[in-house]
Amino acid sequence: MSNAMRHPEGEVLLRYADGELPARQARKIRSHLESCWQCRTELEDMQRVVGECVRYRQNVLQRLLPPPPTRWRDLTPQFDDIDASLAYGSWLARLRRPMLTWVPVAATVAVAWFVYNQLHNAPAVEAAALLRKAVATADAAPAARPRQVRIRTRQHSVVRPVAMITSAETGPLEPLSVRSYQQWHDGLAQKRDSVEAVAGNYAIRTSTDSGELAEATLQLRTNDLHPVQERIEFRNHEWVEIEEVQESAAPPVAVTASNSVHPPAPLPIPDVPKSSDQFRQPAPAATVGDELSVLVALHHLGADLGDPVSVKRQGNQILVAGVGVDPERRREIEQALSPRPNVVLQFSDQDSAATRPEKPVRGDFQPSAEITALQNLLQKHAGGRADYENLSTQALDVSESMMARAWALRRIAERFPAGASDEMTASDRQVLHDLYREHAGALAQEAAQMERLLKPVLAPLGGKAKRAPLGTADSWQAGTENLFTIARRVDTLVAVMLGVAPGEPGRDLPSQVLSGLAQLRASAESYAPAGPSGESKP
Amino acid sequence: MPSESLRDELVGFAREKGSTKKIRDEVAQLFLEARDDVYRYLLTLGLYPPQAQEAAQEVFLRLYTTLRKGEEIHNYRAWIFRVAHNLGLKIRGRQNPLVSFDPEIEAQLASPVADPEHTLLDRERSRQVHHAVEGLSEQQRRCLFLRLEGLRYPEIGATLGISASAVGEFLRRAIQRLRKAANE
Repeated sequence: MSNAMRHPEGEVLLRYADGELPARQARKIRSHLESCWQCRTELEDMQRVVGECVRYRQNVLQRLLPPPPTRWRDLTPQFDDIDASLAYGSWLARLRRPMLTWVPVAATVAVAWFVYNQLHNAPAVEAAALLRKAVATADAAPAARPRQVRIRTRQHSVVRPVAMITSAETGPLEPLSVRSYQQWHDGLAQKRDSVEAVAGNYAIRTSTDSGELAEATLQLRTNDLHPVQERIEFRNHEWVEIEEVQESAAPPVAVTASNSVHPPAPLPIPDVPKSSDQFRQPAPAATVGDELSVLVALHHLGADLGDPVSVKRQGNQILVAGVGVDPERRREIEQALSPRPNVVLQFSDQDSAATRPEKPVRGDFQPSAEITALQNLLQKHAGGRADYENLSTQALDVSESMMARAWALRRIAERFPAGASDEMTASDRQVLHDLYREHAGALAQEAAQMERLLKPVLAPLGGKAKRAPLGTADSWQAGTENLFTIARRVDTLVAVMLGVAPGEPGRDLPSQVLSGLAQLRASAESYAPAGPSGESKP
Repeated sequence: MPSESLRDELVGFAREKGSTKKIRDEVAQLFLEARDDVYRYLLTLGLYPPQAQEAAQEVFLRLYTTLRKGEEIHNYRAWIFRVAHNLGLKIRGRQNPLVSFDPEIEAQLASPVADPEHTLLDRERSRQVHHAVEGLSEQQRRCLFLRLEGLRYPEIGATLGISASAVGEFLRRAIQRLRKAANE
């Protein structure tokens, strides 16, 4: 970059100072700085502020924030607990064996009938014999395995589909498996057994003095020996409980985002395969409906508003990829998507330039005299400096939120181009329509919120929303692109007006802002993909 | 003499024990070095001191669990702050979403008794910066604090669920506002 070229923008200088620029660009900036006093001064000013921040951390945050109320704990005993919990996971993994896949149906029925009668006639059964019979019954009817289980530990409780359980404490495990229990039981050199009748179940309790597991209890339904509950106690008094959950008690996907800015109203979740049998079938070719189902699940989590997660169909799979998604968020996404057999999750910790959205870079600058004058007026009408700062912060936050919605709408329009509707069923169209409308509705509300915020200070300055015709669009996708352009323009106008981005104010900035907001609100209400009947706006 | 498979098992067991000890030592050392920083960061998220201390300890236990499961972590400090951030937000959201950013600092900055080592001028300067920091938007403040803890842009982005370029933009806005405050 020669001195004759324009000066690097503020964010570029900051990224240069922070070592975040690619080497080539950094070299250019370095060379420019050597020859440009103005940019060097700019950078020094920036570094001074950074220095103030560092001193603030040392002198205020480190010295004046309250110290920890108690002494720091020695974590060693808890490391021991974690090791014991992880040992439980590997213990179950070792016990997992391929199940018998075929037993003659007649023999099975006979065994089951025999078992049923035996148990009813002889309540005091021996644990080993009961387990053998339960294994034979389970092998005969594998489809009867539970569909959802609740796993409880001292700290956590989670409901998961049976085939997909991974808990932080135990790692992957096969819950409520009679065979696993039997293999552990039979392998113990020394043990004490008891069998009790508990509320329509047989409870087999086995305790031992050897190994990390001190005691385990498996409850089997008396009428069919189906395992319904399991409790495992460790030598260190930690425990895990696994319990079958009835379908009605546990909706398959019902996860709410904890950090969603605007909790979305519930959308109908498209049908997903729920039976554990279906997990064993070869995955069918991925459809638009499958993709929509994934998008809706992510939407329920708020993961379509800025989370670095992408969704695409690839052959017979839906690929959900995330870069730098935090572990908690990953778990939420995994939990929401786990019932879908053809979804492949790919998370990586490394960020990469390819995944960064193309956000326009704003430069650092000195606000022009017009903007400074406008800000003084805004401050006056806002009721003073503190109220203006508050208003400014709120407006910038709403503006960011609006842009997140605009990006989400644009991504939907890009993922479902005009030709995609041919592949859609009426139900798919409904889901897409609802998903779009929900984002667009939220965007319209945010635009209205921004109008409410800014109108009281802009109206006294002559700001007035002018009626502007909506841009012409041949399709909802084209309309969405218009909508995105308007959102971006409003974002820029607001940032210029509040002095956080450079730009020429142009004529009557207050009216431009209010007009842009009105136009954005109208646009957000104007476009939508076709509903189930095939009619679409515009 | 043990059989081949038994010997393999014994070797595997010894290796696992060795790596467990290494992980324990590593996490214990990190706990010693970074626990106060994590604790303070959690306070700035709006957690009360007992909550922040408990959560800080929980973060290091999670780190230990993750490493023991064999997962690879490229940058421990970034991982620790990412988990602390999410845990902090969860606790704050559950218990008291409207706690303001430590209101007592203001009073302490005004009192020479509470802060005798600094001159009036220093305190006035700190108070100014504190005001300006409080005036930043939530995201700007989060980006600034995480940057002060030494995280790079992509790591901050991964913590907050935004892109690295958005982090640059938030930081630029934050610096811009602080600079404006400093010039007043």
